[in-house]
Amino acid sequence: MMVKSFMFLIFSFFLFVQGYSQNSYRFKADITIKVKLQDGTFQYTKGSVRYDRNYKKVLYSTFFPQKEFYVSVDTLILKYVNDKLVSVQNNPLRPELSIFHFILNNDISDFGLKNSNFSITNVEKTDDLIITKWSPPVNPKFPFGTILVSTKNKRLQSVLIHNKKGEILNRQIYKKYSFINGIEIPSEILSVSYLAGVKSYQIIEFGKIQINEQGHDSEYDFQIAKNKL
Amino acid sequence: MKQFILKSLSVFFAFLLLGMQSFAFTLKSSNSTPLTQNEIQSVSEFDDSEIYNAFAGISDLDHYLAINEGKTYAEVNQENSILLNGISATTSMPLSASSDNLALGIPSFLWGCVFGVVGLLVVYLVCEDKEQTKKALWGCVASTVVSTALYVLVIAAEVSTTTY
Repeated sequence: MMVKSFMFLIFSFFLFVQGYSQNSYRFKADITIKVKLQDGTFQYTKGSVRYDRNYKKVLYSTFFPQKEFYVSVDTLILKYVNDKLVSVQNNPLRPELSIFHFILNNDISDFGLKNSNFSITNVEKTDDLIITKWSPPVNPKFPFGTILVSTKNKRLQSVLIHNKKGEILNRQIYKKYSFINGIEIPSEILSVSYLAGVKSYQIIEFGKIQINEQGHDSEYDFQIAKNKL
Repeated sequence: MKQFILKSLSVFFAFLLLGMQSFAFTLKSSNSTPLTQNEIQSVSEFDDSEIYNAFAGISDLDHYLAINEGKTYAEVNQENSILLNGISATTSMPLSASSDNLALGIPSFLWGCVFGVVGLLVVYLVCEDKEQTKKALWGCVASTVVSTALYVLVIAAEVSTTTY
């Protein structure tokens, strides 16, 4: 009887922990993006980002360098300036494939690759890192090579993307994790890209991260029709 | 005795199930390609100070905007234009390869930051060779659609055969 009760308690605990993390549905943060281009010049963007996985819209509002507003919904990207719609573009990717969706699902540890055409071909453990090798589909026309994903204590640490020749195209490093509402969230993403032997760099910072912000529903469920001219 | 064995097996499988949810397993296949020492070192021995040092030149702007929240490029230009030396007036593009290319006409920053791994790959597609990579992109999309449709057909066929 005691064994049964104990087992029931353990089951309940694990189910509770999993359920708690799966209740994260809304992401909001200040965002800063710093880019150093191949020619040595810089780009600097500051703003905020919001995403609610029930509404499936990513809302990106910048104030530096300019005040602009982007809405990603379904297969559209809408750009607003001074509350006026200035452009609408099609895109084949949906907000459900965004890094914010993966974060809310506590699912970034494999960089979203398990739902892609890539497959795991090797896993190595070295010191405190687990390095997973993802190989591309067998298709001569597919332009990418292997992707190496490293995790540490189940947190995504770095991603290396190679071309077909095995040369590194891009390296990303995920740092400064916060544990909020049962999910691990990186607040800093470093990136270096290698193109034609020249490097460009990026740093993305998330600040004032909020999960499941109450109220402000209209800011997450932006009504496109009402703002269209 | 029988009950004891059944209970033990139940406990064992319960812990196995919970353990599989918590730990990664090594997956080996006939197509396994071992990591080379170079690959391991490129992952574990990269010094990220290289990336931080690349932005040492804009630390003043960084500090200024942290204090003066909401300032636009034009406002900073009026107040302290020296901070904007070497700074572009266009929106940054996170996790993209180039500032000027637009993947399928969409700002690259949305591809990278917003659309995760797929977005990143799309941006690289555009930067390498526009015509070929656009075709590759649509090829990936088309193959995914076909694979999904075939999968659905197979499942539907299985369900219909088990009905009779």
